[in-house]
Amino acid sequence: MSTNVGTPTVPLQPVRTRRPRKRRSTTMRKHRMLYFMVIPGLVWFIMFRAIPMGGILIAFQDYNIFRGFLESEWVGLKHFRYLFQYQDFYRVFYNSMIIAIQEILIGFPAPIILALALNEVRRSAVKRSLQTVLYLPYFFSWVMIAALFFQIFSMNGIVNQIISAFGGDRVLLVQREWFFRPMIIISGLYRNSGYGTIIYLAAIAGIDPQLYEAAMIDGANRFQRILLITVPSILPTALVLLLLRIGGLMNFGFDRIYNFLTPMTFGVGDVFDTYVFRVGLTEGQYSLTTAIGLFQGFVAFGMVWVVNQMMRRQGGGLW
Amino acid sequence: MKRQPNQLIGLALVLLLVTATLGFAGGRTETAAAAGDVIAIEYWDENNQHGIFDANHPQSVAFAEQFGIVWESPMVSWNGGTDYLQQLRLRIAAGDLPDIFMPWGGIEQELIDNGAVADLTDLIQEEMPAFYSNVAPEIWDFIRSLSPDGQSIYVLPSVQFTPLGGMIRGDWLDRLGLDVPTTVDEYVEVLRAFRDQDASGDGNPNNEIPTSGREGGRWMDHLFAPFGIAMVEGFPEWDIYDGELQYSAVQPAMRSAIEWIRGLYAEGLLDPETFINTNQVWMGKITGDLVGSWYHGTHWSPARFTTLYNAGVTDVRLDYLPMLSHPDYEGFMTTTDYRRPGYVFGAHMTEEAIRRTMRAIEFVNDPATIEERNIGYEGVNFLIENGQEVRLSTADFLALGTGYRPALGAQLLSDAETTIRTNEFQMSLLSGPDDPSYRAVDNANRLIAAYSQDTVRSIAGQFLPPSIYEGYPDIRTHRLFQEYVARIIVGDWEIDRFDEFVERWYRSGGREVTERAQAAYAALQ
Repeated sequence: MSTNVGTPTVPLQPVRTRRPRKRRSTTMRKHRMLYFMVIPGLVWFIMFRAIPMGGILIAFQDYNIFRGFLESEWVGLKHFRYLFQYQDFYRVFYNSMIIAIQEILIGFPAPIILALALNEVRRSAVKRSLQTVLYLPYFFSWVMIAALFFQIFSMNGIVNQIISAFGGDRVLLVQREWFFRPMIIISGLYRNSGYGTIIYLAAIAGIDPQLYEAAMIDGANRFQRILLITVPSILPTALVLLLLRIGGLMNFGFDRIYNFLTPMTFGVGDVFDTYVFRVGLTEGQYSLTTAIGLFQGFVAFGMVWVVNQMMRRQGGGLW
Repeated sequence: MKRQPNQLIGLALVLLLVTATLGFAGGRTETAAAAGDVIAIEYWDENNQHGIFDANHPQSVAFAEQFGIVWESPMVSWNGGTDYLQQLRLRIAAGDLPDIFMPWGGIEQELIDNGAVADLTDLIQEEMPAFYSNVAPEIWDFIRSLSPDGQSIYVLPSVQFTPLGGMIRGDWLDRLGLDVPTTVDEYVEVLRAFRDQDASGDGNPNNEIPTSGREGGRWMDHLFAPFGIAMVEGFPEWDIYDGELQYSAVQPAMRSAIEWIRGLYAEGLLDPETFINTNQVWMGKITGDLVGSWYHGTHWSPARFTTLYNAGVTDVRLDYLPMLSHPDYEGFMTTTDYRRPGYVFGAHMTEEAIRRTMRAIEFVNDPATIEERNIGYEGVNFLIENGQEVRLSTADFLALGTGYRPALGAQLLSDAETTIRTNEFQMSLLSGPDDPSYRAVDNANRLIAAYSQDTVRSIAGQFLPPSIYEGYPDIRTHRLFQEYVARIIVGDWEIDRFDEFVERWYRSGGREVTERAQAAYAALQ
């Protein structure tokens, strides 16, 4: 027997509620100090982010610094054609991508692992000292870090002294092509990993302690607690940071590469940023360098979009 | 409603932040204003040599009286020219050029073509007769060729005497009982002796670096010169090869030079860290009593001498390393009569301001005023105490590595004779050979005199307009050459890859640039 209780089906419609105008203005008035505090940020954003976006147009001009934007000649896609025809374009593109991808694969998980490890340090004094030591390199400039690395790997540096003590031949690693990318990644780990833990430690601090207590009662060991409670809890934070990082993929940081780059490592280390520096500064080719910047932006946007789509399928994503 | 005090403070803070944000984005603050009849002149060049000076500087005060201008040179970071160029481009973009400045990186052509700099043709012979007549006519021809009509003068050329040459540690040679080498083979023998023996006399026979250079294969021209390579400070230059103007880096002689230097490197005679040596590191090795021979400005040597002396090397002596003869090549040390564009005047300057500035520059460069300039300025070069003139110590000048500078800035013209005379004047102020500064300057004078006798030649490519490189930044920056020379010399690549370099250089724009260079050269002839 089947009973069909006829329940009238009413199609679900969003209930449109209009906030009374009065209420919104009241809220604004009530929190006006907060709104005021937004103003400097907004001004900054408009002045240094929104208005300069107009500058993208010079990628389509033969921009002349003396004549200015309005009087420079429009040349369409000339600079993009030049860029793609540049004989080292694919080398520069490949180098930029390889370094960026390596950086994400190795540099991105590093602070997470470090934060998980730091979180397990129980003695507060030890933990704080460790954190200070780990944060410190972030405040060193790349010039300093490059000098430090060049010193460590110099002919009389500590690495060669160790090699020599074991009877090996001294070797100048910093001028070996194969060593360039590992050196960039390692120096990045040294400088950024510690500082990168801050957000993750904050996320970990926000996890409900009851979860851990419950897990302990259920007999979960420390490793299981990390894997089953801590990691899933900070995953949303990690994914957002991953997306942001991919957005900045092509803007790897000029000084980070430039300070390590020598003519001997051009083959593997010449990236868009160093190319822009060479062309933009020595030649004053603003249009071409803007075109390169725009191209980098498109590539980065494409990557963010792809990764975001992937995340959405997993129920996450930024939008 | 009564406002809460903390709200007011908050509001004030917000306003402050907004103003600050807007303020920082605003234009530059006025650095100088004309006071009375005196005109303020903002002056830019690589001021790492003479330091910054403002309106209160004794020379500026003297210039105000003498020429009616206040000479101000603000701090502009140099950093091999890149920082300077960046800041200059920023000022151009803001439409706010300094009054007079040194163009860099070939920017003078852009400035002239866009009418950003003043035409000096009608004024130069009137206001700067000595300077005009002391600069060779072919240099003026070249300067005129930069103008749109080919007849006008927009740039004051720098024709400073720059004795860049090889130097070798005379005290090391003495210690090992060796003479200054004159051929490539003798030089190799000396380098081997430096490598194997305790040339520095510090008890360690293993820490000597026979010879060294800098990143990009720069500042080791003494190793290229025997092969007849036109090269200035490590940058290959343009000269006549096979009857035509060509880039020296793609010549067969360059291949031989690289092959020879590669051998030196493999033998441990060339600093293994050459291609990663920054200026500071390289200089540190030289003044750390580690390097046996190097290439640099002989006129800048007093700073190296005194640093070595003060570090305890009291028997230090720098000998001139002559151009080493080679059995198969006709070598020479490269020089250029025309060093670089010296100064341009912003088109915004009034004629009166230009005239007065020109008079000051004429004074600073006129060989006839050298005695007057050597006396210098009160507060800079001497003090008056109890009515007596008291000369300031020269140690500060030496520490700057510039030697005694009789007048600050805008120096465009000098020759071996005036350089030596200025040095002699400086020595006359010192107590005598017991004074290390005296010995340093005396040593420099011997080096300069030897340089003047050496096989030094001006190259054909010294008069090439920067526009030949337009559209080919990698050719202008010698990027490909630097990559290949480094990797072949350190043994990463075989010497055969030099041919690949030549082919790639031509393919990546070298052919077009060569054609333009040859056309420009032919036009000047």
